Amino acid sequence: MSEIEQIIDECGEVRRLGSLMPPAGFVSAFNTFESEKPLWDDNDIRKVLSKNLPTCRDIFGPEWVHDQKSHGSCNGYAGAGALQAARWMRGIRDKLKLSGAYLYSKINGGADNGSALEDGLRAVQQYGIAPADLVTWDMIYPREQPKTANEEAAKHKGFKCYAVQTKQGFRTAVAAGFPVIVAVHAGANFQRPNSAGIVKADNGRGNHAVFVLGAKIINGTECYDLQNSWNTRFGTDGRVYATWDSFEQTFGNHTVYAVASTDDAGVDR
Amino acid sequence: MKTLALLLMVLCQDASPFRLPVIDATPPAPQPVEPKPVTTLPEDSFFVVQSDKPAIILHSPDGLLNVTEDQGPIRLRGKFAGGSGKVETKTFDGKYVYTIEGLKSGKAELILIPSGVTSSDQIVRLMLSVNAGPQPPPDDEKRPKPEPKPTPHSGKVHLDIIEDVNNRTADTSIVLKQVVQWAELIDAGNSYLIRDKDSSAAKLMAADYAGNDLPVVIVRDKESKKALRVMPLPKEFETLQRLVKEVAGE
Repeated sequence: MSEIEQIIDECGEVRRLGSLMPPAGFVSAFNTFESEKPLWDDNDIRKVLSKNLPTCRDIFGPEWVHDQKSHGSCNGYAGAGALQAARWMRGIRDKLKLSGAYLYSKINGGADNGSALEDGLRAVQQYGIAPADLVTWDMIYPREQPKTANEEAAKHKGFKCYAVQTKQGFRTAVAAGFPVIVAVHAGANFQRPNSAGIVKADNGRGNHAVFVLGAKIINGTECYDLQNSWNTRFGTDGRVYATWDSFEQTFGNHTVYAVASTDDAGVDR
Repeated sequence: MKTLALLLMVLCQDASPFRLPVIDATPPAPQPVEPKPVTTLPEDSFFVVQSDKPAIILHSPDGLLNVTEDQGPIRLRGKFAGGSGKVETKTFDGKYVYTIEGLKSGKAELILIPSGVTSSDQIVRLMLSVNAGPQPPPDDEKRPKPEPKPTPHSGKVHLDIIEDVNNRTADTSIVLKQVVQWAELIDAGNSYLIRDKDSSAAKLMAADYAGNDLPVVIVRDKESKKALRVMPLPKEFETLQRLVKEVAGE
């Protein structure tokens, strides 16, 4: 496997960009959001967004932001962040932070060279995700993890998770309140939000995974609240707003997915 | 009744080897009083069976009765089933005297089988109500179920919101995403869970919301989890708050 891209973030840390693209012609094996859910029209989406409902940054404090540090585990962290947010949105208020390293360990093929969103989607539902205090950021291989990791992970799974394939599907999922794991292309623009906290798109097919929870209309434009996994020094306490421009190039290259519901041992089984 | 009839029939048969206790007849009665068989064995009393032949005395269930055998005539002092209820001295002149005492309260079956029995008519079967002091509680299964009392609820509620996530509408989304209001509900000591209709927990609750369109809210008492009300998820959070307060009795 080839070495993955890396950049130096605004704080001088090396960030490995581990969202890998599937091979050309790849078709997701998962049910698509568009086939399972009637998509909303613009009126419905605007109706929800015009309520100015709280988004990720309003709901979750800085303590919910992860730091993947020097590993290419963004995909794992995006999935873990999304799942923990989906649990909270359902009313599960145990403040459980989930481990991006655990999810990454299930999809990295035994090497720290990134992973594909498609595999993340599968693992979230198949294995679940262990708590972050059990599997810490550096435990990116199963052999480094506590023996109880798999058992604990199985308690927190994605239940209905769908590959999102269109812009309207993405907008519907976000407006509906589902966390969506997306790929962005992390370059210089990604790290430099404007005064409104909005980042411009970087050119590229997508090299980094993050998740979106909620959107606001800022200056007439839909801006998606995006949580990164580069600690709280990134953006505003770890978050930035991104417009559709940031996803337009990456969509179709990666299996963007929404976590519509979760399956938690304590409350569902 | 069948047992009683059989017993009376046996008593009237001169051929029966047994003489069973009968309730003492009241002397001044103008008409002859037919003796009534004793069917109860009060506390501290003897139920005495006399027989001209040796007999086997069976009783069931175990542990309710104690049977002792003596050869008569014999003089006994105590209280007797069918007697005055006071301590008396009686002489029993049967060749064989079987004294039966109650050990535990309950219904006991007594079967008297004379030696050399040749016909079922010679076997006496009777039921005795044994009252050996305070009644034990009846078996749980036989105990009459008390009328269900209205469950006093704790005043705090848990909301199970069952929805079809694949068909979440804009209106539903607006209510479910009012996180500030939901947080207030939790801060007030309540809780809620949004469940997809296909989750195992929601399936287990299907009977609670059968016949309702989704999304539906099951308002439960937070402690007992008893469903207090089932209602459609309102389109306005304020309506939901008002209804929850109403159910919680605030």
